[in-house]
Amino acid sequence: MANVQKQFDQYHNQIKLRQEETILAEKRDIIRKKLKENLPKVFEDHDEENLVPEFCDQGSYEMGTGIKPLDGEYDIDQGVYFPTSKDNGTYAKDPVLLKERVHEALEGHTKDVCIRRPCVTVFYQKDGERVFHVDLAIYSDSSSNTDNTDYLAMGKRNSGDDYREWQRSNPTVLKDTFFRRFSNDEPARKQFRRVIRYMKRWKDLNFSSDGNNAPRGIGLTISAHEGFMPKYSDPITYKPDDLEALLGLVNYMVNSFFSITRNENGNLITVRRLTAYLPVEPNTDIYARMSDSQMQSFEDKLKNLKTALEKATSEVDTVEACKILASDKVLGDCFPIPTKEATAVVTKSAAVASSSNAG
Amino acid sequence: MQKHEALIILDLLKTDDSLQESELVPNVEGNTIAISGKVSIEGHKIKILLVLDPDFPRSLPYIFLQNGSEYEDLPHVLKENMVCYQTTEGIILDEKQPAEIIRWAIQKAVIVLADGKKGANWGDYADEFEVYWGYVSSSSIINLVNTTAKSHEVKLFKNGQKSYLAQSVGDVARYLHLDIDKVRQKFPIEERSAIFVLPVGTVIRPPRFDQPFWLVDELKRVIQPALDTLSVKQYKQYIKLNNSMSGTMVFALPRPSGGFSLFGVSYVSPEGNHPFSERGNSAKIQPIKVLREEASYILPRGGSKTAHSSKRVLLVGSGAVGGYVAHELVRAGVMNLTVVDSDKMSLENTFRHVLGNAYQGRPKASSMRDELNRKFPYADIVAIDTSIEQAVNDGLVRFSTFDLVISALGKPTTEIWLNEQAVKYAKVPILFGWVEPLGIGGHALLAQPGIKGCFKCLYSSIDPEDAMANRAAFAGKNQWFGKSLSGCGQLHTPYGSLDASRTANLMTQLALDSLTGKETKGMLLSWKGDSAEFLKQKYVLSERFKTSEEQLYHTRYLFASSACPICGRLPNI
Ligand SMILES: [Zn+2]
Ligand SMILES: [Zn+2]
Repeated sequence: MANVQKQFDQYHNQIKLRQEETILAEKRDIIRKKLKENLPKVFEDHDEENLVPEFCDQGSYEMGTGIKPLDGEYDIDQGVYFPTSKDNGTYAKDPVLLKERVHEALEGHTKDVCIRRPCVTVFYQKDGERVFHVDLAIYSDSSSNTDNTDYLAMGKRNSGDDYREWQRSNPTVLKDTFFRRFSNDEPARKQFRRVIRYMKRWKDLNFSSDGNNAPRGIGLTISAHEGFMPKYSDPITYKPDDLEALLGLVNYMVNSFFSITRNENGNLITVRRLTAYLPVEPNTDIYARMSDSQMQSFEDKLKNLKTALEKATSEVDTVEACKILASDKVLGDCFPIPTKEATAVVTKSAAVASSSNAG
Repeated sequence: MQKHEALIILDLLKTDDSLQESELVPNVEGNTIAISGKVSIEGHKIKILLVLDPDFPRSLPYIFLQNGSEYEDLPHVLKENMVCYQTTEGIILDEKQPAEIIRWAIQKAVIVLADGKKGANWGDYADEFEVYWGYVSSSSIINLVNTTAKSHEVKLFKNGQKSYLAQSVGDVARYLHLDIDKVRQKFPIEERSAIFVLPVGTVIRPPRFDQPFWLVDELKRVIQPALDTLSVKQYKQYIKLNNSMSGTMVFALPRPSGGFSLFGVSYVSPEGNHPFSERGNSAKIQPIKVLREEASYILPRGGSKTAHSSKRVLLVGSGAVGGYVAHELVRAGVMNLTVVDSDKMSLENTFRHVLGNAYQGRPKASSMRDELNRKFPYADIVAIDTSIEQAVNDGLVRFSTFDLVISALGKPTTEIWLNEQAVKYAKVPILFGWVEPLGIGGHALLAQPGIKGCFKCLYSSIDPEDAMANRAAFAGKNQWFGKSLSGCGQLHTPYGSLDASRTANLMTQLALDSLTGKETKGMLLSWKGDSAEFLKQKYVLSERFKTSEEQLYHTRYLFASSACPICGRLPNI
């Protein structure tokens, strides 16, 4: 069995989204500034009380599981918390109204700002192409609510009343929940993050990003939270074995698919599903919006991934193992393939080394 | 306690009849309070005296019977008629309830006395026999003989001040860590004597301190059950053996709670007749207290009788870690220890070495031997003031003659050699222990011959570039930690006494588990310390340190490496 951990390390460095590397942080700060500057005037124009929001990073950016996008469209999640009650504030009846105010405050900042169901999105373009976007999730802050909980403004402009709601939400607790397992175990925590990134990159390689084609990143994170087990090539030194850990997770996911039969227009049909329930409120199933056929494709592609990883695992030759991993629908060409010569070099061990033992 | 507080207690006691007719005894010295009163025992009213120490109610009251009480001649009624109703250990008192403490004490004492009157607790006489015997004895002998179930002959070695009861002069010599000649010189008188073992279940009412001691007849009647178990030949032998004008006999009374109570009797017989012989009635006998210093009495049992005391352990390295290990092993009852170290005690070591500054400039191994001999009777320590390699070359150490080899050298190069000698050639278990710099932790590794997992495994990474890195290390590889205190010369890894003793604790537990056979596999145990100082000095930790202690414990059996040249080819167990 070839050891491909070095290649996994290099690959991870390639795909990982570093906070300081991106211009997203910069854009995020500009948006924060714009909102602070423009919102008082917007509220005044509408004869509403001026609400000063607080900001908080969210999503993979905050969790440290972000990857560089394949198509170059980076995104960042930003929480915007307003001190307004979801029960009796100005926007209690219609959360979309508050999103309109945010939209208005950012209008003209870029050509492209739109209200989507869970957020207000600011797109940035270059040469007519969208290059990245910032998702602003708008909240009614917990301090304004009697149950001390944050509520997310859901709904878009043309939504019916039923789709305009304040939804219980707990994004900050989410990160804690995901990482509680590894609070004292840094080697496992780091591998957990890496494996999530591998899955996300696999997703980008295998699914188009429109609609609900692809399993969402948060869904893959939940699946990893449920199914990831740390794997080491040496249980004493904690040298990681990312290939085994990734294969373990994929196996877990493949085995977690289940069949359900339902009556559709008088016909009984059996479909395959996988669930990913948020471990915090609102405890929804992240994969629920994927259609049956999208689900089927998800399962098929996961099985292909499993087959490829198993092949790589049993491959004796490092070069061959890397070739399998670097193929299009596995981990992609960012995965390095060493030369035959490089893998043939035998490291000569030192005759004298330092020791930290004392007695 | 002040008098007014005592009066409050007295009022509280009067609310029921646990102490009737209670009153303060006037004119008691100091802050001690005495209360007299009556208690009912099975319908009889007897007078008692409660004495409260100045620290009462944080201590139990003393309860005394009146002189001449019909209850005074019972078990648990000690000198001055004090009733022993509870040992002071293992209890906690609520000092806010002094009257309740007294009620509880009276209740317990009443039960003891009622049981005594009925004869229900006379077996307890045997448990406390040595206490009673102590009251009547005016001289003592020191016993070194491990009591067995059978009567047997022993010897008494004495001078004007001290007497040792032993099987042989060698036993006295070992106990005192002296040469045999020296013992003979110090204790020139040697007498033949015997220990008479009484049958299990024998009840003897001890002599009273306020009455004349037994006559020969009474003694003979009391110990007759022991004489009855002797063969005619033994009887003649033991009675004749001190066929002289004087002698000493020791009696072993089995205790219901286990072991024996020992008591001695000396006699003087001007005609040379043994008191137990036909014409021995005129002999004068005296009680003698037997001080218990025999190994079976004072050595720790460690949960497995005194099994440790027969094991032989080789300790290589008696620095900070080894020093603690040596002490803990002896404290646990490991008596046969060979200590090897070529170092001398130096000033740099003072604050982390168990010997402190007492032996400065002297060899570490023999200093350790002298210190252990000074502190622990029966310790049988051999010191070799050379390197272990030298000791082996000189034929002073053969690994296979030990039950366990322990290395606390902290020098992996030598230890890899030691590991091979022990597990591969001598087939003896070997235990290693070492500390890491600046308090980040320490480790203990036990390797068993014939089983996968040894010290070399730690230096057998599958990754060739890590061949020289300890796989268990908490410090990241390729960092140098030696601190030179005085320019060139000895380097000292910075760590403290607490780190050494924590590591020694892990090692001692593993050593004992290996010696008793409780642990038959190899094991790697690590403790994690605080990394603040380490990180402050810009050192880097290993991944292993960053995992949890539970995880480290969980993987304690998994340290074997398939790449190990020593044990790698052994089957997995
Ligand atoms: Zn008692
Ligand atoms: Zn080994």
